[in-house]
Amino acid sequence: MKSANLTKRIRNNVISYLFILPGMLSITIFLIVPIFYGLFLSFHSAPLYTSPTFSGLKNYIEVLRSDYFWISAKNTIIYSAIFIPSVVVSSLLIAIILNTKIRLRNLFRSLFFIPFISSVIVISVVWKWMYHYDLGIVNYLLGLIHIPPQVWLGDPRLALSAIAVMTIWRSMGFYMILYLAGLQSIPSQLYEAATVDGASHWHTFYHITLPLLRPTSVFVFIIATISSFQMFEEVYIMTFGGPANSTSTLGWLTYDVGFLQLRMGRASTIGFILFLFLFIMSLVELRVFKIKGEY
Amino acid sequence: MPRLVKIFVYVILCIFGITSIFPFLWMISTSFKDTYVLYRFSLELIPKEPTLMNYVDMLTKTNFLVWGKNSVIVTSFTIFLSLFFNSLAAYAFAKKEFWGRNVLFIIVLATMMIPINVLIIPVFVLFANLNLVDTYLGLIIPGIASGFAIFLLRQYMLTIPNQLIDAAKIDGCSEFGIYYKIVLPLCKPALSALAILIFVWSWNVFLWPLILTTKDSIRTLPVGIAVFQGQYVTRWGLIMAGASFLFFPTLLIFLAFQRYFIRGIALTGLKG
Repeated sequence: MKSANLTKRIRNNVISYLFILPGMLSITIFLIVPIFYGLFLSFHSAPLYTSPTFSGLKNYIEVLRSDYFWISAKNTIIYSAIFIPSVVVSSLLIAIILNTKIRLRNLFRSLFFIPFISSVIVISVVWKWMYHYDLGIVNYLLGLIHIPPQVWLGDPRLALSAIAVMTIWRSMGFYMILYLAGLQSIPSQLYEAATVDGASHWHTFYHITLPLLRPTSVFVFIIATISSFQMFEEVYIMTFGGPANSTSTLGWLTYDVGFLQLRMGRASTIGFILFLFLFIMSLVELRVFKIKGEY
Repeated sequence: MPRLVKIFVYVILCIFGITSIFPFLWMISTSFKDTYVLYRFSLELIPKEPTLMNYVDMLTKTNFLVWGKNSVIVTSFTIFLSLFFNSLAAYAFAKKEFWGRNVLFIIVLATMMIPINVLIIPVFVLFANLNLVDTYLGLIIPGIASGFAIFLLRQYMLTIPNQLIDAAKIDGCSEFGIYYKIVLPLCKPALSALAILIFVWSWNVFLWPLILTTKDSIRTLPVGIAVFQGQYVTRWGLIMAGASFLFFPTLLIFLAFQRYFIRGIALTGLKG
C-alpha cells in the first residue's frame, strides 16, 4: 500500500516537472544562467571571442575610476530626477480627471495610451524629426511665441532634457492606467462620508485619495525607477550618447563598452553596479513610503 | 462640478489628447511628402501634393519586406510558444503539488526583478557560444522566458475551482487533457490579455534583436529602421514611411482589443 502511494507520488512529481519544463528551461537559458555567467565575466578580462582570464576586482576598480562611468551615472540620475516626478504627477492628474463622470472618458483614455503601445524606435525617430533645427515643428512653434530656435539634440545643455520630455510624453498613459485601477479600488462610501462631513475637495484628496493610493504609488515609483535607469533605445536613435557624452546613460554605457568597445568583462561589471544601484533605490523607495504611512 | 471647472477640465484633456496623437499625424503626413517639399519647413498637415514615392522606395530600394517578414515570424512564434509554455508551467504551479514547488516559484518571481542591462552582455556571449546569434530561435527565446507570464496565468488559474479538475480526473481525463480541455478554455480572458501584451512587446522589442543579429537578412523591423535611419539621414519622408509601417500593426491591434489591453495593464498593477 505504502509503496503504491509512493509510486503515485513520484509519478505525480514527474508529470508536474514535465509541465513546468519548457517554461523553466527558457527562463534558465535566458535569465538564470546569464546572471551567474555575467557575475563570472565581471571578475574576468574578456575581450570578445577570446577566452576570459581571471582579473579579480580589476574591472570594478577601473570602472569606478573612469570619468565616463561617473558622467553616465550623473546623467542617469539627472534624467530620473526629471522623469519620475513629472510622470507621477501628470499621470495622477489625468487619472483623477478621468475617474470623474465626464463625457468621452474612454476616448481620452485610449488617446493617452497610444504613445505607450507604439515602439520606442518609432517615437524616437518622429521626435528626432520634430526636434530638427530648421525643419522641425518644435522650433517652428516656439518661433511663433518668439523663442529663438535651439539645436535640441546637438546642445549638451539641452539634449538630455529633450529626451526626457519625449519619454514623459510617452509613458504618461501607462502610469495613468495604473493610477486609474488604483482609484477605482477606493470604496465610494469614503467619499460620500467626507462630503457629508463637509470636507473640501483638497481635503478629500489629501486625506483619502493619496493615502489609499499608496500601494499603487509604490508600484509606480519602482517601475518608473527601473525603466528610467535602463533608458537606452532613445539615446541610440537620437544622439548616440552625444553631444560630448551629455546623453550617455548607464544603459548606453553598458552597450558602448560591450558592443562598440567589445570589452565584455568591463561591461558586465557596469551592469552589476547598475543592478546594485537599482536594488538600493527600490529599498529606499519602499522605506520612504512605509514611513509616510505611519501616523 | 461647477461649469467653469468643467470647461477647464475639458481644455486640459483636449490639450493632452492632441499632444498624444499629433506626433503620429505629423509622421504620417511627412511620409506622404516628396523629398524636395521637405527641404523647407511647411505646416501642411495634409500634403498639397501627396506622393507615394517614399513607400515605393521603401518597398523596392530597402530590405523592409524582409525585416517585416522576420518580425512577423518572430512575433507569432513568440506569442504562441510563450502562451503554451508559460500556461503549462502556470498550471503546475497553481494546481499541482510537487517537490520544490515553492522554491521554484520564488525563483520565477525573482527573475522579474533582473534589469536588462545585467543580461545583455552574458546573454550575447552565451548565445554566441551556442551559435544562436543570427537565428530565429535566438530571437524568440528572450520573448518566451517570462516570470511575469507564469505569475499572471497562475494567479488566474488559482480561481478555477479544484472540484472541476477532480471531476475530470474521475471521468478518466488524462493529465494533459485536464490542462488542455478544462483549464485552458477557462483562462481565455487572461490568455487574451497576455497575448496582446506579448504581441506589443515582441513587435516593438529592440535591444535583443539589435545585439543578436549581425546580418541584414535576419533583422527585425525596429532594428532595420534604426540602422536605416542612420544611413539615409536626410530622407525624412522615407524614414517616416518606415516608422508608419512599424506603427500601424500595433495601432490596429490596440484599437481592436483595447479592452484586453487595459485589463492586462491593470492586472500588472495588481502585483504591486
